[in-house]
Amino acid sequence: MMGRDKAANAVIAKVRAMYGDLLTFSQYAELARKQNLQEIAAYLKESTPYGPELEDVRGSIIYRQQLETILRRHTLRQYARIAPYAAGIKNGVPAYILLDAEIEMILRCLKGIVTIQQENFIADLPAFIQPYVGFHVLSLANAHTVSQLIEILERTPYGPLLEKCAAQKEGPLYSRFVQMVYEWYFDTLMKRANASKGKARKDLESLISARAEIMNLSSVYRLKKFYQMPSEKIRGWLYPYHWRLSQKETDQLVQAENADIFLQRLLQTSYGLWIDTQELFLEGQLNQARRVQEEKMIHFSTDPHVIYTAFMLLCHKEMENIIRVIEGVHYGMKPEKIESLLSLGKKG
Amino acid sequence: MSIEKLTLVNIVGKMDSLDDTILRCLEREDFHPERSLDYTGQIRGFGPLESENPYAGLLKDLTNIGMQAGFSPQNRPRVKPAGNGRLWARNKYCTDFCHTLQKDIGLLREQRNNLQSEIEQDEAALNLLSHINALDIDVDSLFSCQYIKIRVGRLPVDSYMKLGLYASRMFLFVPMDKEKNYYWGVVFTPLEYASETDDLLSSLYFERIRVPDFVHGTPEEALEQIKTDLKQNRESLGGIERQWKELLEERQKPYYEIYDTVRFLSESYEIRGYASALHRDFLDVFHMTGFVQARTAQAFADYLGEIPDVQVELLPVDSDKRIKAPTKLKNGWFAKPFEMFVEMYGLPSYQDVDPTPYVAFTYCLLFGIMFGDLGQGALLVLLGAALWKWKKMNIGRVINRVGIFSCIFGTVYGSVFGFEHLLDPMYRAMGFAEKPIEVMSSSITNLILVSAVALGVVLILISMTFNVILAFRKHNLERALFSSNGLCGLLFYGAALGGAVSAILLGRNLFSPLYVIFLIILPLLAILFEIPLGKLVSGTPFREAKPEHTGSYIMEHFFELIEVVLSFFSNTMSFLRVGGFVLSHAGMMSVVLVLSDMVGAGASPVVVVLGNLFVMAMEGLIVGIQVLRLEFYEMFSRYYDGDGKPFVPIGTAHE
Repeated sequence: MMGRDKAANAVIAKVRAMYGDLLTFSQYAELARKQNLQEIAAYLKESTPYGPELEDVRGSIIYRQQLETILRRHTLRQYARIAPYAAGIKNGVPAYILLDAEIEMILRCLKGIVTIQQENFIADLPAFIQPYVGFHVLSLANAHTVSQLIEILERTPYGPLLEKCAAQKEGPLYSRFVQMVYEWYFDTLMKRANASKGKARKDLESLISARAEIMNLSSVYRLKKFYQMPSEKIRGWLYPYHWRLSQKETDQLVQAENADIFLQRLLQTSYGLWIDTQELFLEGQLNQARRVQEEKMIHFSTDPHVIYTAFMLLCHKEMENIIRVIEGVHYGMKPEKIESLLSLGKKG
Repeated sequence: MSIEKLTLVNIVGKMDSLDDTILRCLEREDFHPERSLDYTGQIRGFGPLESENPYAGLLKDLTNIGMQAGFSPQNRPRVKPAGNGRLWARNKYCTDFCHTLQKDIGLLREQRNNLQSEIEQDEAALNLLSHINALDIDVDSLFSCQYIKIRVGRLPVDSYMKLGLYASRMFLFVPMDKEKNYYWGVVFTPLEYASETDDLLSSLYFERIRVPDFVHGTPEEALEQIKTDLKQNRESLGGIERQWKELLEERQKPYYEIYDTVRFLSESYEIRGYASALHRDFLDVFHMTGFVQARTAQAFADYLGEIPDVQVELLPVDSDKRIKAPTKLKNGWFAKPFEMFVEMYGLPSYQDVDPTPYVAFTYCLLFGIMFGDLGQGALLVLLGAALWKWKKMNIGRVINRVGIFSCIFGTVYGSVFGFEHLLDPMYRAMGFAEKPIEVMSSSITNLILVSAVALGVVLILISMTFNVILAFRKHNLERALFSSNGLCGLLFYGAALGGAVSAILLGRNLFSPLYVIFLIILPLLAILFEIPLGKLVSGTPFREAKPEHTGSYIMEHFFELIEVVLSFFSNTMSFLRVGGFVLSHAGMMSVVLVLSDMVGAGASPVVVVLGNLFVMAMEGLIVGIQVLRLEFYEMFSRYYDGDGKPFVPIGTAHE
């Protein structure tokens, strides 16, 4: 818990100033109208705060994955720029970004082991993240079996989790581990949020619950749409957190006979405001609701952990937005279609 | 202090009249449409009006091409085009113009991209040669090995760290130099493994630099050749940029004329999306619903009623509970500019009270107290009026209003551009022996600070009272009675402060056991059990209302209670800054005057003018931000939700 010290005020001011550097509507509009990756990289380099990060990159031969790695590095650096000044941050909610990065790497490694495609994974391993994580990143490339991976992760919470998961035999290992690791993730973040008091705690809990709830809704929709999974089974995949929906509303959605009825019911909830059935991109549209919440917290919260967390979540959205633009341009999508896939708030 | 009264409107008519109806709504610019409930299929027979916008495709193309060219159509204010735009837009001229512009821009873009790539390649080759300069070998011999393939280039630091994972592969990377994010080096690989190595290096984002074919000889000779090529390419790029600029200058005017017209037509057509339709064999009708201001509702109905076969029904705003009414703030000359601050936090809902006048008054009051100077205040009044008149900046109107209060308090403090005794004759004429408040006098410092805190207490109490009233209006008994900003919080805060003030100022101890139990402890206990008590008064049975785990509930909320009590104290003390700025303003101006005394008589007026401008700019900004902080955190957070939606009438001919 940081407390109301001078450093806390400095962190709040700094984060708000950094929030001012996030990309704006018109910058996204210009990005979406670029013709290729070269032009996107040049624009980011010359006209946005990504300039220093892309300083010595040659736009004409940059690879898509390379640019994405640079964007990820930028997001992590945003976190690292503030972390030294914010007391208790390492075990606070804002450090969720490190948990995210760890979990993503482990899941990719596990997927590589399961599908026996471990070498493809080496190039994408973010070695720059090493100072921030609890295991040796490059060692993941040497893990060719689950027990080797467990050994690498043994000093982290993920090792015992994976070991426990591997001991169970029901269903595919990868899916079981995804479920288990995210249960642990949300539980850990909630415990961290509990270290704060009063409104700050409520705000942090709300930020975490929002993420869990939207993951739940996206899962329910996908499982109904693509796998026609029965409601009883779906229930086992949900994380027990609620943000805008009550337990009763969630139950009604889960019980929907198919994806269309699910959507109809979702339109009747407070998420209805964000859903455009003509241009359906459910996860993105639901995330708009989160974005409004995060921006409000940046403006009006007085707790550094809340503001810091909200800012990091917005940074993550910005990174996802740019990646969507890159993909959209790569696949020759129309600019307005690309724009409809972006999560844009007050700023952009 | 009010929210504009609205009327719910239902418009029903024959489908043939829809376009006329929309055009009339656009003309009036006072109709806020809502997606009608029949649109979602809740009224039998009605469904969405499905028709393709004939202007949408052209508008998208025009926007995309314009932005690619370097115009800014997205930031352009909306204007209603002259003449019959619809006919004009059908003209082939628009489409042809769009295609020609696209073709010309595409050509220039391609040439520019090619040249930029060549320049980058040249620069990279130059860079490469500067790194391998030390080798002092012939470039041709380096690349003409018979059994070994050589690649030169740079590898990201991140990838360099992974080379160890490929120890068994048949290649060798020899670093020669290091930049911030890259290692420059040479890769050696046997001829038969060259292809595999290239794939692997590519996956590690190795950037191979190809030395141009015309480069021969030693690195020094090669350097000269590349520099010549680079110069030529840069000159060609300059030529392309000039052509691009000329093209933009030539096409800008017709582009914006076409763009404005097509956008107007497209947006007008989009309004059809708010209508729903009922199609039957002998029936083809549309339905639109929305809100208009109550005072113009009859005129609106009469105007639309002139269209044959269109009926307009006016209903009370809350007659359909399923539609949430939007909010339009209505304030007078003084408070109007402060709507900006309220909107920043979130609009009140239609049933709520508009806090703008309260915000306007308290903002000006606090600013005036903290920045009291008759001369500087008068300048703010003029500056604000000028910003609004010529730049149409809303903040100009805010500056204008706070300037008035700055003048008032400047007169009370007797301060004019930092001169603290210029107004003394006026005070004497009014019968005072000297000016009533001498800010810089040490005897009055404590009074200023205590008064600032007292003002803070009053503002906090008013904010809490607002919260109680608003919560009762919303039938939220938990918030009204038991929240820290509810009745119990008000009782506790008032009693604790009243007791303390009485003991310190009057020497009378009010803290009798009954006073403490009923006005301090009981309200605190009620705040501690806010959630279960709230449920109980809302009619929830005791079994369901009580916490699931009483022990952990008490533990958890006890610490929150401590924080609530501490925050009452810290929030009150927060108003000390008001007094602090009174002193700091006077202090800064006295520094300006001391500096003006230290310089010669000629430079003295310059120092006074510059000093005043500096203090106005710096302190004015800081005080403005501090007061906004007090508004948002010490007052708004106690009573205001800001969960309304804005009243946005359709009409494209605005701004």
